Amino acid sequence: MTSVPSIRTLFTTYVLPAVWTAAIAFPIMGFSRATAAALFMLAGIIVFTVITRRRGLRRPHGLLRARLESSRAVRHAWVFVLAAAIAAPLLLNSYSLDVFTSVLFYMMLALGLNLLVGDLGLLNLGYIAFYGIGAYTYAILAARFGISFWIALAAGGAAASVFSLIIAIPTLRLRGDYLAIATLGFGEIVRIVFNNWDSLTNGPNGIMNVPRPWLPWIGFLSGMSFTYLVLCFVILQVYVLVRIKQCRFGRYAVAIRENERASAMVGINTYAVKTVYFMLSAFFGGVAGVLFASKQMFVSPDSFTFIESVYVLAMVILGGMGNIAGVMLGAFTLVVLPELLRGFVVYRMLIFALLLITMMLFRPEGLLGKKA
Amino acid sequence: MKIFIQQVINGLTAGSVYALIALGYTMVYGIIELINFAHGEIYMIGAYGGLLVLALVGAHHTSGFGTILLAMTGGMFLSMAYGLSVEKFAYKPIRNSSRLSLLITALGASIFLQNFVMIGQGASDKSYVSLAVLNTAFNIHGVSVTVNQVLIFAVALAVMLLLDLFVNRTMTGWAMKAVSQDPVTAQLVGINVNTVISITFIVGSGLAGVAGVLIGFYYGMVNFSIGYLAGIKAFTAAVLGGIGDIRGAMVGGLLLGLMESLGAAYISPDYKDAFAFIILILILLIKPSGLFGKGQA
Amino acid sequence: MDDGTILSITDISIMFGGLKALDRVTIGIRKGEVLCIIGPNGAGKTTLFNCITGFLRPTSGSIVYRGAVELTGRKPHEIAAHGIYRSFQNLALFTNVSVEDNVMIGGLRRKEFSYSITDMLIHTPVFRAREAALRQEAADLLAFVGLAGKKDRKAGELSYGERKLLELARGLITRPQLLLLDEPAAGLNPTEKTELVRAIGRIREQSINVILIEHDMRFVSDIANWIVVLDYGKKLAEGLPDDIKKNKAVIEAYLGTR
Repeated sequence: MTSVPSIRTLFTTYVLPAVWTAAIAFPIMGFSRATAAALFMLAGIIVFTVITRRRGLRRPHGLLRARLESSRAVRHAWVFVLAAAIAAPLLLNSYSLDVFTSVLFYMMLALGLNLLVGDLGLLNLGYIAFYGIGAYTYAILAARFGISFWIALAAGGAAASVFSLIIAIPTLRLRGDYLAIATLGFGEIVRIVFNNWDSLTNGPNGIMNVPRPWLPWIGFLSGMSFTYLVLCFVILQVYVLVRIKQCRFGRYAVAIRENERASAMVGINTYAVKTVYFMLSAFFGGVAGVLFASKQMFVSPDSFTFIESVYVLAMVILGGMGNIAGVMLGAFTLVVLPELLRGFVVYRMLIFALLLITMMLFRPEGLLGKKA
Repeated sequence: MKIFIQQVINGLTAGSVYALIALGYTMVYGIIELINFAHGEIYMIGAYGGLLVLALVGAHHTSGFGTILLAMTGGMFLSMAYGLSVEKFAYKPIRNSSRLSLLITALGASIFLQNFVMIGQGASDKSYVSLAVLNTAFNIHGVSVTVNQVLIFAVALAVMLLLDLFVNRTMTGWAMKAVSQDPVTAQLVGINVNTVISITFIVGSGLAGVAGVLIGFYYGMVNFSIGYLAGIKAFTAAVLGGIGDIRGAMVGGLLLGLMESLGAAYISPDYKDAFAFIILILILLIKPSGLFGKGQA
Repeated sequence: MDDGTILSITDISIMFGGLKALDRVTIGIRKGEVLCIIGPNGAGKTTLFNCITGFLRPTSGSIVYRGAVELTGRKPHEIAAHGIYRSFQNLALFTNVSVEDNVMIGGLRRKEFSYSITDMLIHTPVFRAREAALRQEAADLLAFVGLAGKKDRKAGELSYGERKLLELARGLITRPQLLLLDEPAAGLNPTEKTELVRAIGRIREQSINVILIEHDMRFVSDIANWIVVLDYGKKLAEGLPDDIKKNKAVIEAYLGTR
């Protein structure tokens, strides 16, 4: 069936790209790294050709997904993950506990962003701004004015929502990629304001002495008890998101993503639905931000850069757009993997970027995502 | 008044560079409707290309314009090579996917190139040789203009004129226009769409490379991270002039440079970088087709 | 003002660049009527639908619904809320969603299927009952158009004719009082056409008014009781099907002998 490729094809598909890679990498990377890059390119092309030959460019269903398909298996998996998550803080040392808490933060963020990117297909490149607004709201209210954690928590979520409304009203009219750029712009403006509004945010130095959350009988939460608090929030968030998916409101989003004209024709106010999703997504980001600030006990503009937005976006994409379990898996993978690859710390972002590109090439719907 | 004129001169200098980079965004968007996020990095790579040439020829304080020309050529070719590679290896395989996928790939390519250069060249700033010819300043009634600024302006102007001739007077230029109007029909009349797209990337990247070297001389140093902000600003310039419109990108770049420089002087220097974003958002909201655009975007 | 007129379109015009796509068109639809709009390609038929349903805003003129509601300047979802549903010439389905869900989405906006946030969060009996009722009605309508056996398939997997029927079922679940169908018979095979004629007949019995755009004159004379002919954005003629068939201007416009 497969014919032997001619020397010419071999040359143009394998040798030429590899040599080319070596040639252009050499001035930047030096000889040995350029050779490595060329070999890497060669390996990449071989994998690419094998995969595309085998099943066309798009592959249908992954094995993993087929197994997760049956609802009993899904339920068992959820129970197992929940049990593991509840047991984990008891078993982990303080370093691992930190990583685990970090996983939880990113899960909150990725799930929040997923409402827009996954459910509605709207790309928000400034999502981290809402995280920042939540964090700063809490830091200012708690550290400056001594307002209690729980009130400040609500305020942080609300502040992010209100701000998102200001962004959503004008930008939601824009076409897809323009929306992405506009949100990126808003995100950057927020960071620049954090950096320069000295009287409110203390500029680049940030705000220190942010208090921990406080609960009656337990007192200030730290370490393990703090992790459990965040875990509770994640569970609550997942619960709400699952419920939204199962109801009318979740179906509006599906309808809008699939066909906006038809949605309008069955009476759905698409603009209003998008706006509410935008605000809800920001609310989750804001709440996560409050928790983040109370964990760090410190906020500064450096935590809310563009690359963080991209990082959260990558979690949504990796796990599976629109799929709650997938997005959580994505967050877990992208936080834990770099920790395991500590020796490759320099290459971390490089690998991460390659991951984004390869995902788009082979599995744009994500590891667990449904093919759209 | 002196301050005003000085800021106008500084603004035009920065604006010429934005315009050069903006051209790449606008050409690529015009032809495949992709916001090429990696374009800022192509500009940064150009700056490193110039640096490498300077090291190779052993440039020193007294080197002349020949060295500068050599550095610009080096930066240009390196950028072209990288621009072409990004197109071939990252964008081409998924050109028919959704716009969301393409945009995310572009984002990935941008982060990849940034870290690629960081690994190869280190994270710290690298300095360009300070050339005596470039630092000569003319002082006209208290307003100072350096040879460097004149050079940037002149090179940008010359390159844009050449580009205008290329697009409007050559077969390849016509083919580019045809593909951006309607790729399917262009293919039917025998235009090799793939080649045209590649050429667009090469030309756009070359312009960014030249801009990178110019900025290297102007600020005296380069860093792997300079592409992000410059890229966003240049993109703003492209949108300002109407994305897809080559002359619009030139005017948009100059305008953005001016607004930024005057804004920093008269409003607040702390928010200099925010001006570009604010202008970007305002334009997207009020007139997404750009200042000179006709239709609705 | 309520003289049994469901929709009165008065003098509407719309310009695209220098071109008049509709030029002072006036049409009235009386209660219980199946109105058919015919005309050569580019005559402005779909444009007229777009004006009625809020996807385009006419340059001038008015469209009044039930003698009281001005429709021009309203958004599509507001117009839909008045009980007006349209199908699209080249279909507008939720392609990657199951057939059943496609129909259910159509019913989401109806009052009798709504529930509060609390109902939704803890799945109260009210929530369950209303979801079940919506599902049941979707099943009934799928049976009505003959797609009961395919409810779990994705909409994109259906044949062209089946998709048209699905779009109709999704429209019916919105409980429309006025149904606009843009070339419903195009691309259907003879059996599907018969099925469609029967469905439209039964829709009419439920006192739902129908306006349709169609090319197939035989199909038109089977179901329409009033015909409007558009040509180059202008109303060329209107009348009973038999009169229109004999109208000289209409024949000329179709055969292009001018």
